[in-house]
Amino acid sequence: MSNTALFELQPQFPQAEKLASLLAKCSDDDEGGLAELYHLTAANLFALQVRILGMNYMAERALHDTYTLIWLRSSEYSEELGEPMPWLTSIARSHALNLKRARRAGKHNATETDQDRDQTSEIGSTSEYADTTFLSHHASTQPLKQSLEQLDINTRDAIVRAYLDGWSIEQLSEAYNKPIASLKSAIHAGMLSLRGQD
Amino acid sequence: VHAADKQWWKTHAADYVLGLLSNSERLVFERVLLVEPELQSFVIDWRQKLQPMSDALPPVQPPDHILPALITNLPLKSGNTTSRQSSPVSSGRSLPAYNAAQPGSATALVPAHGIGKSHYRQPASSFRYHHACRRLSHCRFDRQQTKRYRLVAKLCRAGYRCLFAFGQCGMDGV
Repeated sequence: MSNTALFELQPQFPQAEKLASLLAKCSDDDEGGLAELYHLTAANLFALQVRILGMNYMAERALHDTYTLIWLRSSEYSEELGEPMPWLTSIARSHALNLKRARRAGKHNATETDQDRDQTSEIGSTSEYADTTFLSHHASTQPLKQSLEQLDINTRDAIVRAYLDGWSIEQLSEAYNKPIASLKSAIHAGMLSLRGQD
Repeated sequence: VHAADKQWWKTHAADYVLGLLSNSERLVFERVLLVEPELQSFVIDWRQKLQPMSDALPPVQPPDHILPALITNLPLKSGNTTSRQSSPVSSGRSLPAYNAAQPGSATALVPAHGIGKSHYRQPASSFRYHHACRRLSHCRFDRQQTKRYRLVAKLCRAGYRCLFAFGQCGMDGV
């Protein structure tokens, strides 16, 4: 399929094959495989979940649930689904986002202190991650870093925040004081240019 | 995916991967995703494309207590089903007590402490067994203890082999 070629697929995570074999072990009910998978990937997935949920019990619960999900769904994984790490990350991210949405939905009956903590954890980091310098840790991140740097700062920031911090479109539009529709179309344009072609 | 809609679906796949769809949009999108391989490939490509961002995050070591809890609480896998399982993972409120017992493991084979003895005429089918496990694991351990007691009694009356439940609820003497 032509659209896979557009993405210059390259091994993003050094142990892709290793992870795939561990997932195969998990689908064979081998708990040792899961433990090893956990040792290799938990710090990465936890970093993402902490960004989304804040460093609290909820992130810990999310990590626990994520590996339970990975255990249950390991038989679904195949090479057609791409490399293992994006697959694992998508499970971790979507579970953390679900928890965050549930927390946001239940906020009206949360206590004062809960609300305060959420406010600070979400808005307190506003000026921190607009730059993409943290992307320079890996050589494989260079292409993405370069194409991100070509975007205007608000769009880049919105994409990074949505992806890494799990901000909703409402939160983003509030933070940048922009209507949702125009923000969305800016993000769409930005994402398409990240893709390089189209 | 129709050629004219391709761009539209592509941008929505991007929104989906970024987590920017509203709840209702997401539900619709996921329904379509299940049946459209091309849309799946868009989603996979976006994930791959954005992956460097999460790989580049400075790793955070999770607390040590998570892994042992994880391994001891691994849920049952019901055979080798290829279908998507509705997982027992909590979506917000309560952390379910996962079943540590595997079918055929020692806990499941312990004879009954008198309860429902006469009902052990035949082993429960794996389907029934699985659902008994699932129902039990959905009861909250602390708050719904009484409900759980009642459910266990009911299941025993129904002839389910739910002995594992006693070990789990700490009700060995009941």
